[in-house]
Amino acid sequence: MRTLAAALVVAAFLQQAAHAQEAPPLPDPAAIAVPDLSGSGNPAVIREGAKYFFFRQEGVAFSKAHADLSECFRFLQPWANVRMNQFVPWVSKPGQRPLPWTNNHGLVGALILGAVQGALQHRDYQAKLRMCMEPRGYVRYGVAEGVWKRVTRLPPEQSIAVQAKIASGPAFGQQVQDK
Amino acid sequence: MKAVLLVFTLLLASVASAASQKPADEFVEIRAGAPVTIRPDRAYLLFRTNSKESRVFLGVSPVFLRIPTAEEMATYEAAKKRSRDPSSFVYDGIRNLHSVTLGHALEKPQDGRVMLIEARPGDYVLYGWGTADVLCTCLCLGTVSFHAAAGKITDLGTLLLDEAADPSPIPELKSVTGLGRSVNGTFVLWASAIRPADGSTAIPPVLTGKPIVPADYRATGKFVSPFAPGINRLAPIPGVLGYDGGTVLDLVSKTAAADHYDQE
Repeated sequence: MRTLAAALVVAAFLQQAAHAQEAPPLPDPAAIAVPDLSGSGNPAVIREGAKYFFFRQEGVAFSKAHADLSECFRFLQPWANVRMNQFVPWVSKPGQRPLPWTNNHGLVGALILGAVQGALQHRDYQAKLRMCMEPRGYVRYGVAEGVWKRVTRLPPEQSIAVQAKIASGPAFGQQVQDK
Repeated sequence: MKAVLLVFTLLLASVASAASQKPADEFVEIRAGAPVTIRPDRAYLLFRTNSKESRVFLGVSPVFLRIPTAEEMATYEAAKKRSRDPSSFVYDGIRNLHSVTLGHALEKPQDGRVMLIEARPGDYVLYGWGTADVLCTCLCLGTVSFHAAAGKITDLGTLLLDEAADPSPIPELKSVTGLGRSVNGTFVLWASAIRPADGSTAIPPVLTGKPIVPADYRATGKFVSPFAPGINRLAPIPGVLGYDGGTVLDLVSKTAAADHYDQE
């Protein structure tokens, strides 16, 4: 149990989800290359839709999608420590307490921790975006794992731009159904 | 998965609480049987939690932020200037973020908890939900604030909680739950609502005759928390808190509530 707790604590410490602090300038949508989404209708992709998806809204403007994603990316910042600060200044950004940690579990332990970290990072990323984007009218559409990884691993400004173009672009694949 | 995530939450809470420090008089839960004396220089927060079917009894409790005074901010800024790395500066000289210990309840009926907390007077924000010093769900996408006046008991009504993933039987939570398992990240994502106090809200007998005022809730806009695994927003409150897409609405002033993003 202690190892599991350590894994989670370290996963939080290592979490490096891409995030943006300030809204990036609005790029020219014509200059943004969107990956091929034609495989999104594949049954295997649809089955995994709750894991790998992008948002889309019928009729939304690129500029609106870009603004919404830029704001929602603010909440993807990594959390370094599960322990809350005692003092939060409220009118300015609170700092993050670094987590003192040393690996006492060797290479195998490090590999396990890495796997846990990746899974948690993925879940937090998707869950946070859902809570921020869905009230704005966006709907999830499943995409292939490789496509999702390529886009989400881009620098934040580029990832926002590509996801905004997808969100405001033509329909693809199927809506995610996991309720 | 639900049970595993909950166990992890509680486990991490035990890890975190072991290292926490809580100034003795900043935020004091008044337990059953203790004398209740209303001091003129202190504020008192009264609230009820909902039934145990929502797992509140396991220790997931509201987290309150007291908005710092100008004097506290000056002290903080001075300490920050002296630090080696102002960008990651964490200040422990003052405590204004508090999670409630539901075990220290004024009343422990079978279907919930009644809490009375002696605190510093000031303006408070319902910041999120956590356990011990671990914030599980931040109300970063919209919440409420209220004033807690000195010498008075501010009645917050009933704070309602349930999992966001599954449909909730609690009327105020029906529209914000049933979102599916994928809203759970590292921890369970909690959905919450407030049922403001009214004439039908039960008052603990021990508080009969004491100065009790209903909370003057106001909508509070979005903010970013650096220690939030999960994010959500408080369910709408008629006449107080509403939403238009991602915009938080202050239904008292009939304007959009200001967001509280980083100002650095």
